[in-house]
Amino acid sequence: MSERKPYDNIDPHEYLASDEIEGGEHEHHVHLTPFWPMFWVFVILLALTALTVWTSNVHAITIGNTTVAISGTAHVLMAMSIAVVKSVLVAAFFMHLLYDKKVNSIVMTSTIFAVSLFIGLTLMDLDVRGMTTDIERGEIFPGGNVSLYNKMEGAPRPPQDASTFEGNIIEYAAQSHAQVSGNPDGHATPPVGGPEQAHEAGAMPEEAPVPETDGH
Amino acid sequence: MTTAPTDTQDRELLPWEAYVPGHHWRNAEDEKEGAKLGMWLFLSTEVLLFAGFFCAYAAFRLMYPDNWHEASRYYLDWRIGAANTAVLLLSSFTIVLAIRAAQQANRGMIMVNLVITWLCAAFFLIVKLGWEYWPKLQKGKLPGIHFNYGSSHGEGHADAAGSALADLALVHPDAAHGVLSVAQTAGEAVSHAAAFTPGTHDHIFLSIYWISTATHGFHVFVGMIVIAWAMLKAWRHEYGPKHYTSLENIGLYWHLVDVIWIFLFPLLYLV
Repeated sequence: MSERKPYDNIDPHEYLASDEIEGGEHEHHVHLTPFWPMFWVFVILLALTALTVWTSNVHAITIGNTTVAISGTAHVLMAMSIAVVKSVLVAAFFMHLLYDKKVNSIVMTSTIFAVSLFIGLTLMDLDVRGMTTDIERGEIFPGGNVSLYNKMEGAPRPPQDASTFEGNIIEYAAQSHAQVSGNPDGHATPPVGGPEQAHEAGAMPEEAPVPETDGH
Repeated sequence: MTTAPTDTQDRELLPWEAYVPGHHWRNAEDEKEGAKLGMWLFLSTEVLLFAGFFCAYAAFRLMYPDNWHEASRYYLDWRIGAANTAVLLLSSFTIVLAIRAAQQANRGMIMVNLVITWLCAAFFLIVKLGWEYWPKLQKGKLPGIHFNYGSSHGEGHADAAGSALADLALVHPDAAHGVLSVAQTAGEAVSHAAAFTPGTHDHIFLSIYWISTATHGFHVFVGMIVIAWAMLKAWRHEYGPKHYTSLENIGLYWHLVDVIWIFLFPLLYLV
């Protein structure tokens, strides 16, 4: 293998001419995993786990005279940020992505992108679906008066925080629909009642068609 | 870097020394890189599998944030989750050390580190089954329509809630509607009796808890099998600086199981 051979169509990669196939000795570049960096990554991962546990019990921060409450969503964002840092550490060091060929990182990055689309679009859909209630009421219509509607004072609004309503947004929509149909003035109040109210309100449309069936 | 054996002329080659890559590969490095790329593609499908659980979690967390918080605090103990997190992190570190030992042709250290990894996995599963699944099983905190609100909270009202649950389950054959009605009725029945007021959607939280942790636990179990296989191969001198591809791929799989738990732990136990 010392002198350069002409290009060989049958063996373009010099596979047959190589001595590697015989399993013989040749310079083999093994990347030896370093001990101390891996150890410190392990320690940092443990520390971040402790940090996650600690932050989950902090419900307010007081700086001087100012106290800032930390909402549940902020807790989730904090915990997920720490989890992302931990995963990146594991992937880069323990899983050798830092030392590997880039193609492995590309595979996993595109997968994470697909996952973020999957979860992100689902959450966006769920987050705004309650707004369709106003469209169904005829109070706002597509391409129309949303900006005007937002400026109206005392306008009925869907609950901004889902926790004030004990049902899910589908139950909310059903209740709102029942209120509108039972109260044709259109001055529907935002439903803030418990599940029993939702249940009663949701039962109304089911009872409504009964006289019609008697007529037939 | 390689601790090349100098005495290979005097003895029979060890399996890892005599290893020859498949005839369709140009050399051993290409074979190893190809195997690792295949492993990363497999890990991608694993991420997509768990993405479904994370998406369900996110959707219902968006709908019932308060209920989610209370259910997490009441039904799950963060200390168990934290202990299991630390154990999984340790096992990830030791499997890295096992690969390092393979690169150094140190068979003893491969075995020691793989045994520690395997014991960590066993610890994880024993804690999960004995301290988490078994008590929930006894209290009827099962996934889906098998979730029983009445048996742990209701001093006095437990029987009423239980019978209401059974009656309504019979009345409503439609599963989705039936679960909702049963949960609401049972939740109202026991809320007067106990200090902890069960949320009307606890069963959804625990369903997601069960399916995601059980799938993850199954991966830990499969990991124990393949780590045991790696121990067998290490015992047979099949891992050395020239060849440790399967050990490295098992390590990749094990790290992914660790990463998934890194996300499951705060989402389930701390939120």
